[in-house]
This record gives sequence, structure tokens and C-alpha cells, in this order.
Amino acid sequence: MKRIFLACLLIALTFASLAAEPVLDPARQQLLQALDALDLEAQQTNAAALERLQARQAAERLQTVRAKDRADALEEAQVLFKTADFSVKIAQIKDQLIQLDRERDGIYVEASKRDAAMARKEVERLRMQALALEEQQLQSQESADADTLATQQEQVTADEQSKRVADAKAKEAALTRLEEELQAQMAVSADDVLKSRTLAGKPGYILSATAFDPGTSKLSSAAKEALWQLAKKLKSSGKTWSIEGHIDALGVETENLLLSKKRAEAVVSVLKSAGVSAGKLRAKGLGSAKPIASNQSKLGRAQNRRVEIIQK
Amino acid sequence: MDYKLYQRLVYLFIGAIILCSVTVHAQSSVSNASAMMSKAEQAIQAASEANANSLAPVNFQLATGAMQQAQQVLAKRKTKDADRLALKSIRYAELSANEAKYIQLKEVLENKTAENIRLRRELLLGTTAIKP
Repeated sequence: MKRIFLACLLIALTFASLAAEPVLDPARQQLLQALDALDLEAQQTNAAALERLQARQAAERLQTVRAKDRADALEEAQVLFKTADFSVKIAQIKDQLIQLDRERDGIYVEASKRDAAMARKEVERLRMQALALEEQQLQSQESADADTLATQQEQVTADEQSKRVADAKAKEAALTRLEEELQAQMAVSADDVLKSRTLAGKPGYILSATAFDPGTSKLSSAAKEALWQLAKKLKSSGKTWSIEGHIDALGVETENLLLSKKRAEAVVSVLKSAGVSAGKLRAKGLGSAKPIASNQSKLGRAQNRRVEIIQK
Repeated sequence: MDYKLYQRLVYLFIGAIILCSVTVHAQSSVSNASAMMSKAEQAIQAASEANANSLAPVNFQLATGAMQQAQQVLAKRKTKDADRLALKSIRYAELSANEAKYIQLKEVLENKTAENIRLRRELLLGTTAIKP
């Protein structure tokens, strides 16, 4: 009897064990799946390993816990899972913060490089500007110097040219005059040297230019002879005589004045030598100021070259 | 020695041993519960320092509520229940502390992200001299 009872008990236990196959627990399965996902998420950094392990152990315990303690165990497992989840997120955020700090440092480095590059660029720009200014100043200085030099050269050239032109004109005039006087000297006779004329209503004489060597104040021998003859008349008159030298308009007036004055003085000198009192003679050169004919023609210029001896 | 007297002494000795064992067990349970209560208090203190009371108020309230229940139960010498409630308080305190830290760090992350975006924009535009 006893053996039969033990056999029945054994069979009952066998069936009970078969009936006690793991029952599907949706809450536990869900929790385990969430934990698997969390493990995958934290796989690289291995963050919150202890918290994840505690949550997994709590979830595993749900299988063996007694029914009356199941609600508390499930709540604990869920709380531990949330704690592990937050721990993983915290670890991820800390990693991100480190990355952001590096990124910020990189930005500052980049900004510093940019500022340095800009500063270098600005320095280079200022240097180039200074160089350009210096070059410009040099060019201006060179240009001013060149202008000054050119102006001076132009001035010198102009002065020299004017002088050369004046000299050339004077030479030309002198040559012209010389030529004309030579021609006149060759054309006229000795009697034509000194002519009696009424000048300004008073008696007077005109000594033509042929009385002088061409271009000089040197009297010819014929002229001297004529003046000696004239001196006798002047002495006998007892009057004062004005000896005025005239010349044509060729050449420079200052030279003309000088030549006319010298010719007048030469006449005075001969008259004085011939016995005329020096107090009775007044010599002056009038240049080309008082022409008696046109200076545009040879004949007119020949008439204008003369020495007038006028009674005062 | 009389056999009965000897038998009584043996029973008395056994009874004393059982009494001592029960007493020691009871004392140990109380001390375990007290240790767990102390840990729960520390966890709540840490959560409070992490501003969990304002940032994670739901979980923080659950932690403090479990702690109060544990104290009440312990007063009734229900050490096992007190131990269980203290552990629950610890779990919720740790959860609320982590939640609060997460919220704070998330805000820091958002600020730093915005700051980096601003810095990069200013750098790219080059409108402002950036100094750390």
C-alpha cells in the first residue's frame, strides 16, 4: 500500500514538473528586450555596466520570484532599467560634451589662426601701402626735379637762343650796315661827304655816313679834310654848334646810341683839332630816334646814318 | 544525578539556546533594517543634492514616500517589510538622481551646442573678434 502511494506521488510530481514549463512572461520579455537594446546602445562606450547588470539580474529574478512578490520585483526591475537607461544617456551626453569642448577649442584655434592671418595680411597691406607711398614720393620728387631741370634747361636754352638770335641780328645788322656803307662809300664822291643844309630853320651841315670807315667811328681822310674846311666857317661864325650823331634802325638800339655818340665825338675831336673852341661844340648821340627817311630801304637807311652840325 | 532532573536541565538548556537564537535573529533583522534605512536616507540626500525634488519630482516623491512607509513599518518591528520598502526607496532615489542629472546635462549640452553654432557663425562671418 505504502509503495503504491509513493509511486502515485512520483507520477504526480513528474506531471507537475512537466506542467511547470517556463510560462511566457510578456513584461519580463519586454524588459529583457529593452535591456538588449540598451546593451547595444552602450556597447561602444561600455557605459553604466553595473546598472545594466543590476537591471538584467532583476529581470532574470522575475522568473523565480514567488507570485506574491512578483509585483514588487517587477517594479524594482523596471526602476533599475530606467536608472540604467538614464545612466547610459548621461554617459552619452558626457561624451558629446567632451566633443563639443573639443569643437569649441577647434573654433578658437581656427579663429586665432584667422586673426593671425588677418593681422599678417594687414601688416603686409600697410607695408605695401608705405612702400607705394614712398615710391610715389620718390617719383614726385624725381618728377619735380626733372621739371625743375627741364625748366632751367628751357630757360637757359631760351636765354641762350634769345642771346644768339640777338647776336645774330646784331651781326646781321652790322654786316648789312657795313655792306651798305661800303656800297655808299664806293658810290659817292668826296664832295658828297659834307653838305650844307638848313636844319630846323637854322644853318647847318650834314656829314654822311660815308665820312666814317664802315661800322666804326673812324673818320676818313676826306671827311677830316672837309671838316677842317668847315672848322674855318664855324670859327668865323662865333656861334655855338650842336654835333648830333644819328644812325639807322638796324641792330640794337643801345649799340646804335653808342655808335652815334662816338661818331659825334669823333667829329667834335676833329673840329677842335682844327681850332674850333671846345666850348662852342656840343656832341650827343641820338641813335635811331630821329630818322629823316624810311629805315625799310637801303637809301633811307643811308640817309638816316649821318652827323648833323646845327647852329644853336 | 536524578534522571528527571537531568532531563529538565537538558530541556532548559535547549530552551535557552532557542531563546538566545530567536533574540539574536530578531536583533540582527532590526540592525539590517536600520542599515538599509540609513542607505535609503543617504540615497535620498544625494538625489536632493542633484535637485531631483524639482527636476524629477515624481520619482523623488516615490522615494521619500517609500522611506516614510519603511520608517512606519520599522516602528512596528516589521523589519522585513521595512527592509523591502527601504530598498524601494533607494531604487527610486537613485532613479530620480539620475533623471535629474540627465536633465541638467541635457540643458548643458543644448547650451554648448548653441554656443558652438554661434561661435562658428561669427567665425565664418568674421564680424566679431572672438576671445575665450
